[in-house]
Amino acid sequence: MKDNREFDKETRSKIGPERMKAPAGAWKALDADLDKHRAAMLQRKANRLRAFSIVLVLLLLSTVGWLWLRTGDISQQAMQTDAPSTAHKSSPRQAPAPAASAEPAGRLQSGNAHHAVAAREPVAASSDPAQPVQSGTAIIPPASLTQNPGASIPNKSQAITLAAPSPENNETASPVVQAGLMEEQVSYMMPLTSIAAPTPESPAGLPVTSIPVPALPEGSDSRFAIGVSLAPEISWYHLKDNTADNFDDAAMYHGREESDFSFSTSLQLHYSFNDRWSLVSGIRYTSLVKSMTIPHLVVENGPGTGMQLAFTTSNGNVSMPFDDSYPSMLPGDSLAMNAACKQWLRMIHVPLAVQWQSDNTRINWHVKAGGSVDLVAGKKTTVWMDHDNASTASHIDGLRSTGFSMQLAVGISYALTDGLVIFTEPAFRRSVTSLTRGTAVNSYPSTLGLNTGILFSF
Amino acid sequence: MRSIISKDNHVAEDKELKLIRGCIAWKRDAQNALYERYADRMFTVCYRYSRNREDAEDTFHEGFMKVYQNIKSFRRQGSLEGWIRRIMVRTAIEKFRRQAHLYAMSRLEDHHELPHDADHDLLDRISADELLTLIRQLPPVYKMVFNLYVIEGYKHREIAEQLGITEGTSKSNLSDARAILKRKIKAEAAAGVAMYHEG
Repeated sequence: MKDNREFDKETRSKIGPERMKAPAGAWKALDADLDKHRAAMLQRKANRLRAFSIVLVLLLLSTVGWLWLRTGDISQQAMQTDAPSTAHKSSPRQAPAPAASAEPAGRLQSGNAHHAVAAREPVAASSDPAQPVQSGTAIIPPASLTQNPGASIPNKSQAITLAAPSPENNETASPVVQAGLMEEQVSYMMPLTSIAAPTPESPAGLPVTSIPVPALPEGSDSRFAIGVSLAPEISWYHLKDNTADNFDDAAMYHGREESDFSFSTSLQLHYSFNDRWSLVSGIRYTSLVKSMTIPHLVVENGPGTGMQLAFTTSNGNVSMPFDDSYPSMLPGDSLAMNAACKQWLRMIHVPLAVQWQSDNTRINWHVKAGGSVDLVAGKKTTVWMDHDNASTASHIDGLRSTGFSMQLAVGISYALTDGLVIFTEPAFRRSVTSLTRGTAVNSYPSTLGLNTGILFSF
Repeated sequence: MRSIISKDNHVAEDKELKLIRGCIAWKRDAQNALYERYADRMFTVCYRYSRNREDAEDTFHEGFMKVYQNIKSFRRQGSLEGWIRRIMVRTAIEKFRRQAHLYAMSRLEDHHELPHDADHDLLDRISADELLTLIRQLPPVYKMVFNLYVIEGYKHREIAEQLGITEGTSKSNLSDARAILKRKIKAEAAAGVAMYHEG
């Protein structure tokens, strides 16, 4: 032992100060590579910026589109009800309106739908009952509120509820105040539809609004819908040791394998039984990706006369062609590698689920639960033997071709137009059957994704 | 005297800091200055771990690129030279691991009967250059373990982690590497003596 220490020490002292000259052209090569690296770095930055810009533009476009659809919807409804109501959409303001008058400015007929249009200017009521106001918005005269307390306008949408002034303090509820408040309330909301009688909770003269619930456009009563969605997914595996020995294979695989981030895409078909319940099916494509480290490759006899290299993973046993460039080896020999490896399993799922949705309004939330038949559509394993020497194998033993999984999703949807709905839903899926059969471990993949897509009723 | 040394140290530190900042800012003159300062020393390190000069040049190039790319992560808790050297050694280890398929797992029984020589003056018989050549001629795994343990001062546990082998294998490989090296030194020295007599 002492000899060894002496030997090491002497070796160290002998070659420690030894210097060699760096190769003559080394800096030139580095200089060129530094340029390339710099260019690649800038390119990556530019790509990121481009991707960010695209996302931003898409977001802007969708926001503009959404606003456009929404404005069109409101304008359409306003136009439909323009005649019976006192609303004037585009009449210019001719002169400052007179101050509030104690006289009623007009009557609101019970049963008339009353719509307001967007207007930002302060509103004043006209003193002439027959004359509509010039500000371009709806006016609710206090007299009509007084005379028709609790007047309710039958309409599908129940957007705003106003408390009418009580007869005792009718004077305090001046038309100006009423009108101004009305405009503030309705400028950003959906149609005004009902006026409630005064209650103890809502003092006279002060409008009380309920939270507006936008109504689903009429006519969306089709039973079938088709949709597409895309989901970023994370996956993990529950591994169950399948062997009777004392070695924990599951722990070993967990130690050297890691799931990668992936995507799934799907085509959905919905059939609605009624406003709340529907059946969902379709087809979903996912890819389960794993990164692993392979400590050893074993040389074994192949199916023919040749040899092959084999290694095991939790998702089956991989065998790949034997490369002639390896040193002469015999079956049973192994190569210590610690090679990087990536495995892709491409799956096709055919789901069948039941969906329940909260209401038939513009914004809904839903719960979806069911199962799916899972088919292995493709499998591939790539091993990086060297920095730029990769071998790909598509032969994986021990994988089942079919399996079953269960799924659960909770999401929210928004009706853009009649029949066009966007939705997003965190979705969980878990295999109930193992991906593998007859291997050291049973493998049950689980995934969690954020499905985002669009659904079209027809 | 003390204040002069202290002042010199400060100047050197400032220079180094300037160099590091220049490299972080990807300034070519700073990158070149760093290269000029450490190139020879680092090439020697790479050469010890490589099969041949070409291999050493590859490791050296890859190592320096890593230095430039990662210099912003240098925390100045140790010397810059030590940090660069570690990168070079790690690059050599990675290269070894990537090329491990080229080296069949060594059958240890081939070397079990090697004599354990106790000659103290064994190393006096050959030059540093010859010793370096002999080390480089060791089987790849032995060379890695020997270099990491004897020259870099790694522990067997660390070597085992880095190379993906067990601690026992690392110890056994080191022992075999020493034995092979001693035998080769003896042979080299004997050849040298014979040539001297013939001459």
